[in-house]
Amino acid sequence: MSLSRFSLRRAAAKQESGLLAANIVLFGVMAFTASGFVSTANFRSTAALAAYTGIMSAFATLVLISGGLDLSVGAVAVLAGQACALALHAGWSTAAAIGAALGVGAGVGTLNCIFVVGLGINPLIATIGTAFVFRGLGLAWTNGSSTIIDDQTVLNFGSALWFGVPEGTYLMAAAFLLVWLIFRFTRLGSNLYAVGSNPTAARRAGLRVWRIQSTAYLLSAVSAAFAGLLLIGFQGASIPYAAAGIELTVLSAVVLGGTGLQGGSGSVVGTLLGVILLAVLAAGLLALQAPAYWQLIATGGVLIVAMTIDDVRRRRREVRG
Amino acid sequence: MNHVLVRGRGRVVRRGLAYDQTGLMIAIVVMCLVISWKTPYFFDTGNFSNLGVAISYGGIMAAGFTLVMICGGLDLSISSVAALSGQALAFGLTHGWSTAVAIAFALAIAAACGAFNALLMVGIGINAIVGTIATQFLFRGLAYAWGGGGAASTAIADATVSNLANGKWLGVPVPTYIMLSVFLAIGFTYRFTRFGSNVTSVGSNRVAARRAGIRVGFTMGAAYVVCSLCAGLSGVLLVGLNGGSVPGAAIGIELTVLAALVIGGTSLSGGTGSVFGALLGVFALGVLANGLNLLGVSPFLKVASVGAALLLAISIDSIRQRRRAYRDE
Amino acid sequence: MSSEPILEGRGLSKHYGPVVALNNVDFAVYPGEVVALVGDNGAGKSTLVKILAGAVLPDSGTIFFSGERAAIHNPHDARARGIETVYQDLALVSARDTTANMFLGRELVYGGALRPLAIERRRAMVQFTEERLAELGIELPDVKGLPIDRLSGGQRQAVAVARATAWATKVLFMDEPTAALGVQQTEAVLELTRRVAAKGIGVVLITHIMPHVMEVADRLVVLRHGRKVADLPSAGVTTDDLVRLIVGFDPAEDHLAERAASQPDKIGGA
Repeated sequence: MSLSRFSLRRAAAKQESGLLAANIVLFGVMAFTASGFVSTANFRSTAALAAYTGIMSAFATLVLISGGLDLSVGAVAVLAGQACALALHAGWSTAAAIGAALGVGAGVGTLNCIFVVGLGINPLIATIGTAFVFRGLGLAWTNGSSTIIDDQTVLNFGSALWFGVPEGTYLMAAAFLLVWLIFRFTRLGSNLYAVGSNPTAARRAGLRVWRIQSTAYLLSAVSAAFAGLLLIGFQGASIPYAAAGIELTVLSAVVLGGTGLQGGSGSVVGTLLGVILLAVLAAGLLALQAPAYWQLIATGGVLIVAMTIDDVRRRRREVRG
Repeated sequence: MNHVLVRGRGRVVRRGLAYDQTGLMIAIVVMCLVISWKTPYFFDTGNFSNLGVAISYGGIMAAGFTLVMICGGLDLSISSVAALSGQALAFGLTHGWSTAVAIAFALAIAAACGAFNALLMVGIGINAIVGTIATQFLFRGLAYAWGGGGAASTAIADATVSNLANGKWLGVPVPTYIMLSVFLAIGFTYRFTRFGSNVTSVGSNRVAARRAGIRVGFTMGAAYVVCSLCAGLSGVLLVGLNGGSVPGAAIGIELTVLAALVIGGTSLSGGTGSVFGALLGVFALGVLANGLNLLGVSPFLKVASVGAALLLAISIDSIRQRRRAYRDE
Repeated sequence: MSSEPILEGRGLSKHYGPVVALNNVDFAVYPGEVVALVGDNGAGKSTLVKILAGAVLPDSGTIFFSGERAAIHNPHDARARGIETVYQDLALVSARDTTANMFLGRELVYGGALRPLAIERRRAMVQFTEERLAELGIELPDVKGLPIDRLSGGQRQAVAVARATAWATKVLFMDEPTAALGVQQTEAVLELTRRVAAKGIGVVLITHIMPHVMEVADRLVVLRHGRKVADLPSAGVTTDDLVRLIVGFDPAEDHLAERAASQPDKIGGA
């Protein structure tokens, strides 16, 4: 089986084009069957919601390609949002409050690094552990109650419109652009791929594997914190119960986009298409006024179908190669 | 416990209980002592039966989950399977079926979920983490759909089911007996039967197992089905505990179960693990939660404490493994 | 050593797409002898063994067992006839102890042999394992309870060989058994090979390490580019001869040597 960069790129491109096709088809189906699907209101709310999932997905791709896994992003987002809300309440300036939120992200990210990179704990378990811990701390901090936000900048993250498109969408686009640039042009990007596909070889080649992996987890956590700001902006308040299970949606988008869980290969564009697909699905279901549980069934079903196709395709590739 | 001297290496190998579990048992004892020192309500039969009930439905799931994990797989859909089985039970009972048939139906639905998981993870070969997350969504959605759409639960007043969940036998809650029986059955199977050996072999080295003629697909598939059956049984009990079938039942339990297993010494990569350790892990987390409750700690911190316990246990294990690696070479 | 081969392949051929792995090869194994199957990388040694052990189906050719045509279409057919293979990767389960590995896939159970829930007869298995190990002169720390990932590389190799010889009543294939071993361990494995052959089992040793070949083999079979180029008793064969056969070096066609002889100061000149 040829593992050259070129053939990996071709394989990724196939996944991406498949996703693009799926997106277009789904969009078409929804537009026809659901009245009110093609409406500005629907698009706006979907885009706003998708934005913060999207930002987390972009950086989750980064972590996954490096061979890691970060399931604490939801907890970080909520906790960071809380930190910001409480800081604003306590009279901090907007900038300081945002700084506090990002600081929370950095803190949790560092903790994840210590466990996964430092102690060598399996990232699934370690990040589930930190997710639990910080989710619980977040709830305990405010005793489960929400805190209202009245700072305009933060609120704008979630709801302001620039040329008719929610601010969040621009921020999400920026996030994806950033990650794409990292992979395309920087040494960090190549190193992430290297570490993900073969950490031993990377280490022997002189790469500081621990530093590269840590960077991935830190970026993941800080971006999750930033996403948390969008979340509270959109909600108008920091709700400690929010975003439960969001990491699974994030993971779904990334996997749909063709990034494997074993690391070393993946596509940022694919993740973006995955995010869009899930968002279109959500918006469509909303417009169809389908009961909430259809969301679950649909997400699960789409993921299963996508993975099956991917597996079948991989099997066929192996036989041929 | 026998001590056997290993020639040539001069190291003592303990047979029977693994080294890790001694530490865990000590931790449990210490926790019990600390809690009872701080509050008089811990060592109380009422409290113990609460504890027994509280750990039972997670514990039953943990028994089955251990089998899957040792076999090299993972099943994060157990919470949804439990809820779906609960819906099946409610369906049967509200349609006038006898209790036994309704329960059998609920378990059959659970087994079907397990078979579906097996089809995806074993038959097609989808990665277990993402695959069972997907089925978790799917089954949960189906549970809600079956339950009528909303979060409303169907009230069930069946006597047998209620007795199973709330009854007591010789002072010990029935769910605890059920949990212990499940652990006994699975533990025995794992230790003494050929299937149990195969589970370990497949989890440790799938290729070698296949070459040796072991039916890898059957073994893994069976493990997934057993796991789901345990989740189904749990779901049935939950209906009794909740007084009805709640579509949102057991959300998030899979992570506590995973924590219990890891604390008990089962490895995420498969091949090594202990059913007894899982029981200890369930117990440890149960005592922890119970203690925090009695000490008036915010219920939210309970969630955090499970995470902290998990991280602590796995950090200790990690450090010990590193030290062992150095010692060996 | 009897004159009837216990296992024989005639006219075996196998190709993978355009690549010819095996081209009309005849190969025989006699009871009680050690035959070394040698050749460079890609010569077809592994393919030949896989065909005879049932792991691969040949495109053409026939297999004979005990003089009769045999249908060996999968590993089970081979094992049922007492043909076992020790693979390069050993195919051991590191999480389990020696006894478990010995009986991998063939555990002794009470009652019905097919039911997966049958209870294992541990004590009988342990005793059998200890006997087999003693026969071959292998001393292991603890056959019951000590997972084999705690054993050294040589010890694990010994377990793999002991397992194969315990079940191999007729033929034993060993694929590069000494490749990853140190001097002492290699000696032990080679000695093991001799002991197995002494029991009347036909042993086929695939290796590319010349000295080892010369040490234990009774007969040498050389493959090159999928063809058999030599099949001769090992007595009197030098390492040089062997290398030439493997590489296909013919002094009469050696242009390099000619040129070296005519231009002493240039290529090849001393």
